[in-house]
Amino acid sequence: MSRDRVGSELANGASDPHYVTLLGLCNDLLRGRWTIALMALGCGLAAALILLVQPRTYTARALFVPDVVQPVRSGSEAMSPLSALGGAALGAGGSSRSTLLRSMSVTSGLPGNRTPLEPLDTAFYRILLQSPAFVRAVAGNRFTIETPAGTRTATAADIYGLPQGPADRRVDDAGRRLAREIATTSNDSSDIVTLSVRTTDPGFARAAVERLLDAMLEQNRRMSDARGAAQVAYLTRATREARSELNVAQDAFARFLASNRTFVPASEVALQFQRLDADVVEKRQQYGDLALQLERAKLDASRATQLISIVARPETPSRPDPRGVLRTAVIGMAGGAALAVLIVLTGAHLRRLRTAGYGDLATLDAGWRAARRFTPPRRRADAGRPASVTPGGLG
Amino acid sequence: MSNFDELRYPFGSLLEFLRGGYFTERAGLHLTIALILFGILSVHVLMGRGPLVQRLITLFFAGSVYNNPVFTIVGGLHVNEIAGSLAALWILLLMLGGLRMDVRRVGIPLLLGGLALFTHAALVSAFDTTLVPDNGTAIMRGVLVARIFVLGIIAIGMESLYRTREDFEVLMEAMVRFGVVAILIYFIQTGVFLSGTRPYGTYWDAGFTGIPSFGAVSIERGHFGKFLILLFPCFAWVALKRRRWIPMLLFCLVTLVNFSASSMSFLAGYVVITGVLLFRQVVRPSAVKWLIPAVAVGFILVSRFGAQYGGLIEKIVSLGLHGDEGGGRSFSVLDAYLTAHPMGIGYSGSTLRNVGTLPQINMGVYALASQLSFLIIPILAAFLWLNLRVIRESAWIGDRVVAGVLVAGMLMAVFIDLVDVLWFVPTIWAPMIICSGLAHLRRGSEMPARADMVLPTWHSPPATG
Repeated sequence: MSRDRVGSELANGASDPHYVTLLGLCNDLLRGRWTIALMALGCGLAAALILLVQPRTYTARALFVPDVVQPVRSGSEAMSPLSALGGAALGAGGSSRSTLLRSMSVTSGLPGNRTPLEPLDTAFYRILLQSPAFVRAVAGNRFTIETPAGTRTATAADIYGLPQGPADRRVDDAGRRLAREIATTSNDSSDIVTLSVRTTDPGFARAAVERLLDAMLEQNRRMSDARGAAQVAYLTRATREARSELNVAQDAFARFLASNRTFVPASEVALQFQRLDADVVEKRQQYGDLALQLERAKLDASRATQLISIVARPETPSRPDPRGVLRTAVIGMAGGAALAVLIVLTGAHLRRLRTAGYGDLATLDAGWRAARRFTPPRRRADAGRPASVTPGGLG
Repeated sequence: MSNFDELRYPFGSLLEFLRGGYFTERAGLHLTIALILFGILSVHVLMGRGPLVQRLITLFFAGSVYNNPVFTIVGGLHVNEIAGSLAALWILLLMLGGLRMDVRRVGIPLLLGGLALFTHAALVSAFDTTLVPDNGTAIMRGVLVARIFVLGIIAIGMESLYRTREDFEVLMEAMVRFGVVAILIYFIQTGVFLSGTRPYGTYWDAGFTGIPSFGAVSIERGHFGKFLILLFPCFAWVALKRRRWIPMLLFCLVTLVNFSASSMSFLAGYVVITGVLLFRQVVRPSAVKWLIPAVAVGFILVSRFGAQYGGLIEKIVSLGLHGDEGGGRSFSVLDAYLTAHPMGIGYSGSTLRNVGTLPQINMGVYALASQLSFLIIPILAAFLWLNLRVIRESAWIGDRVVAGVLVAGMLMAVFIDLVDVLWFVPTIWAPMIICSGLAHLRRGSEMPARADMVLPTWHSPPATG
């Protein structure tokens, strides 16, 4: 706003075009009622038509709950064959007093140590289903779907009718499209996750949900295997080291016994005997614990598994999804009407400003008119130059 | 503490809170006290000075931090939202009765922005039906846009109904008073926790600080921190103009012990910008007496919670600056949205900003871009232009301190809107509306009808004839 106008506008507030009333705006809208009506109708109809020409969609749903299989602890498991071989049995090879030296804390911090496995959070599965790599891997499978003509086996790219091309690219495109058709919701109180696929083929919708569920199960199994393999690898290494330490201790003890066949219980030799005996027992206990952990880890690798419990399996949708034509038309009409209101109100305000002789707008108008009359320098030069005869024109 | 679980709310509204008898539990003690104090404050405001619509507006702004489920009355609306809706309806009636609106102020641009967002959202939803899969989502989207209209109408009402400086001061006083009570509730909740009972609204730290923090009168600890920090200009105003420093100290203390990375970084931003704008007013010999306790408190906090602040800095760096995937602040998240919906998903506020299986999006400007697509350019430009215009007008306030804290609030609002999804909070717009209102009050009373008058710049005292 120009500075010299500020005072006069405040002084003449009543006729100021910058002040509007709601009734004045309503009048503006009434004047532009046909514009508003036509745009609302046009946008509503266009939205409905676009929706009607689109193919019908079908949604297949599955409900599942994150779950876990806990390893079962039994009495026999507490003393595995390997640990027995290592001499983990209480009192075996050592005095009962020295067995008190053992401490379970030696192995308490190991990866194989047991804590109850919690089911994965629902967010994990939602994020997994957002993962492009995961969806792409699913889309790369072949799907068997029932069609009126019989059973059809095809890739997702074939079902989507994607153009021929490099296989990787087709799988990638199919994965992107499938990702757009997947939707997941979860209920915080029940932890039930709803997985749905909305696509144009009812058979494919069901098959895709089935395949996604299978892929999630497979993912869980791979994660458990990887975790179990890591535990087993760690414990195998630790057991090997414990075994070698036990051998060293036993050798030292054997050497001692060989060189001290007669000893007096109260002598220094007797004290060394007890120390070496305790060392052997301790090492044996450590080895036994580790061996036990290793056995458990091997068993848990196949037992403690994250899984999903299917609450409702997907079914082939028998009827298409509701189109929501009315809703879409109403939303389209609202959008068109709002756009028209914007246009009408802006136009009316500009008219008011022009009528009031608003300085800035007049300057803008003049600039705009000048821009429309603008002639590029080359054309201006051409216009000033006398007409010349082209070389070809003479022949 | 390692196996600490978050304790949220087993109730979703005031009715459930009362019907379930949660107000009798020790875990709900802080909320019961909050309800009583909020009731007293609300009655005090509603029986205060000015017309009723003005008091409703005060409640609308001052109660924004009170978004805990116990303040949900009906239809998922909180007390302040109901007050705001009533005020907006009242102002609409006044507008029908001939209330004049100045298109150059803040309200009309807000309404026009809302209309543009509504148009875009409706057209995008009409042609991309996956965005509105059911009627509930459609209604929710409508409600989200309607909140902009409520704010715009209230801004228009304030432009016309707030005729004296005291009107604005009453509003800012009320915002501070409600904020102080919210802070006290936070400390009461901390006391309940330390006594051995885990109160409702106890939250873990997202793995960064190692100690719990609390939602207090808000639905969640992050909400509490973010909604409260937006009141900084009002707290600074009370401290600098009314010489009441206790609210400001409480405000800083609760922000420092709440361990919300966003609110702490925003506090730092507010302090720096206000300090720069009001350097001469803040840095004075008399301020030294406050500097000593502030340094002492800071030293104690750092020595006690040094590791936690280190964790927060790590969070700010990893999520805010490096844009980790987990924080929803990386460009790839925006790319995923724009690839799936090139025309945007339509204005969705904070509630519906995440769509389908697309990843969570938390960066303010990215969330806005994913919602508005190309429309973000004119909308952002208009927002910046509006800010600039009001900042220029702020010179008319005639009080550097008031203008300074309000301008700091506006500048921080731009920054906050860029980094966080908080543009839907009414109090983030309050400094702009108040600043524009105060400037026009003085401009209207002192402006001579002279053609040779020179508009003042912000750093010069206003020309008064």
